[in-house]
Amino acid sequence: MSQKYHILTIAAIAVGLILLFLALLLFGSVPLSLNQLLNGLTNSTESIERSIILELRLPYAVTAALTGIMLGLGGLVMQSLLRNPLAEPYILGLSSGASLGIVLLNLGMFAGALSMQVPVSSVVAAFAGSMVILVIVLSLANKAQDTTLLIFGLMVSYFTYSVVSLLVFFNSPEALRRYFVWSMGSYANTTWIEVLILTVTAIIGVIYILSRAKALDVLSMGSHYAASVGYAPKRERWLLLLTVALMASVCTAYCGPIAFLGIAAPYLAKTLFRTSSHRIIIPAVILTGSFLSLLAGLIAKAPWSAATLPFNGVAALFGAPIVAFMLLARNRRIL
Amino acid sequence: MSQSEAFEISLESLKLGYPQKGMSGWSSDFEISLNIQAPAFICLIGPNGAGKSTLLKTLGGFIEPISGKIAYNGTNIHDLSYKRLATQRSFLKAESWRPAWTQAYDWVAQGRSPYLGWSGKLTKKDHKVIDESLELVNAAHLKAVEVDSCSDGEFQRLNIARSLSQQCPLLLLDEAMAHLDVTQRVEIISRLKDYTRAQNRITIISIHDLALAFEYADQIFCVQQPSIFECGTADELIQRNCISQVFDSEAVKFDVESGQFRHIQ
Repeated sequence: MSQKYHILTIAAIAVGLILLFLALLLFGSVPLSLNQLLNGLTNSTESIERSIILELRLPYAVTAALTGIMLGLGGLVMQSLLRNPLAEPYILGLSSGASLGIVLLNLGMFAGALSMQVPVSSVVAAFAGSMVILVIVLSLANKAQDTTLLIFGLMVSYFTYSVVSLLVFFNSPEALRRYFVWSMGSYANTTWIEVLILTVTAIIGVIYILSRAKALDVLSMGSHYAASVGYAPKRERWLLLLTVALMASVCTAYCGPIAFLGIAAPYLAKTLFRTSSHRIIIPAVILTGSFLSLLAGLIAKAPWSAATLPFNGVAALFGAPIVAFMLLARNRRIL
Repeated sequence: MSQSEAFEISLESLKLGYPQKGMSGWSSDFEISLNIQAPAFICLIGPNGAGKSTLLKTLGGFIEPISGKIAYNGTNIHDLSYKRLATQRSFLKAESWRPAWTQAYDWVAQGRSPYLGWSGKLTKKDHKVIDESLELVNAAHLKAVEVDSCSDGEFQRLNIARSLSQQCPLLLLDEAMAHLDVTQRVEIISRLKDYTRAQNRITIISIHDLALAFEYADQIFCVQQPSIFECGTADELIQRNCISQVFDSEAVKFDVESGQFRHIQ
């Protein structure tokens, strides 16, 4: 693939990103004009426009972009590490752990310990749940091979989901409803504090993963090969998984278990750029991840109506056909 | 490619195997003590499950020997870091996984990993080494092909090129010729031998084609775990009856006169 094609693709996605970001600021239950947007941003006097932009739409858009980047990169790293194109950031039980945390919280178990507001405590609970499950999986399967680790993680995931289902089933209708809403995913629940934490996590994650581009290249050729060209496979795997875990649990805590992006963003990036070199594919995933996430976020906001749709309800509905089309159109050899 | 400096591997009462864990694991009765000096083109022969891969992995420092030690140029490989080992020996595993969206050239370029900075940018010298490696295995025309659309034989040649591009004084190849057609096999083994000599390296290749091994190897290692390890030239091994000892079955015997295996009614 020629350099010119790469640059054109990057430019096209970048333009798309800017347009989507702008659209997220302009459209919503109260449509704004470009003038109102500029006024709201530059004019420091209090106005409804200004608070809509600063307190609702900007956090929403930034959350969408950052979540797309982190879940996309998480998917890419998992796919390279486990050498399986179907791997995604939640594969090792992250989202089931987060769900467990949320459900336990709603059962009132930690109510005494976390007597904060519901949004903050659910964040803490989800994060704690994810980390506990991840540490269990990683320490028990530390010596395991790629496939074993994957299947082990899936089993832990299923087990945790069983526990979650039973807990939810025997719970109050109100707790059930809250759990259900959280599990549908949404970018609408973040304030600037959460956005700040998302930003810091994203920066750490992106820098670390970029610095491991070479290691990821050789790890995706097998841990044996990585070792033969000078990379300690176990150490690399542990640190990369921890980075993914950190990014995915922060996203899950603030936005719910967001499906689809972890698989779609890397796939789209790989199809567009037709390479597996991480030096190119990591920046590409940053672009496609935020693009898909902003697009789905825009649709979920349902700008034509006052309602907000559940993210997981619309992401794959609109995203899956796009990615599938890209795959078929670019892949002359259909597997 | 620059000629590498004097290189030798010394094995000191080396016992092979895998640590005993339940039913799996084994340990060799023999202890290998020998010195190999570059240049040397060595073929490793033995039936399936004889321990050829175990020997190669042990020599490359991927598994710990049961006992004894291995030294490259006098340094115990146990004391060498992953980074350092990566410039001393390259290792080609018998089976390999093929990722999607990877061009052959990029695949072979991974062999340069130990010499690159974090960004993985290839220098002029790296490109030259990669091109020469591709040339050596007749794969220059495959450069732009994606590895998952190569044939098994083509992919195997790319893997050999990848190992060559790592430019290590010790080249360990596990069944690297298995999928090659007859002509490619002969051509590439003879080129590998010339390369080994010209670059002053040590190449150890496990191979099932005894005729090729007898023809090209400077030395042959003949292994059958847990009890047999023999080394010598082809003639020596045949005279010492090692080939029969290792390979003969009830129905198939090695005929010293013709150097062929024959089925016995």
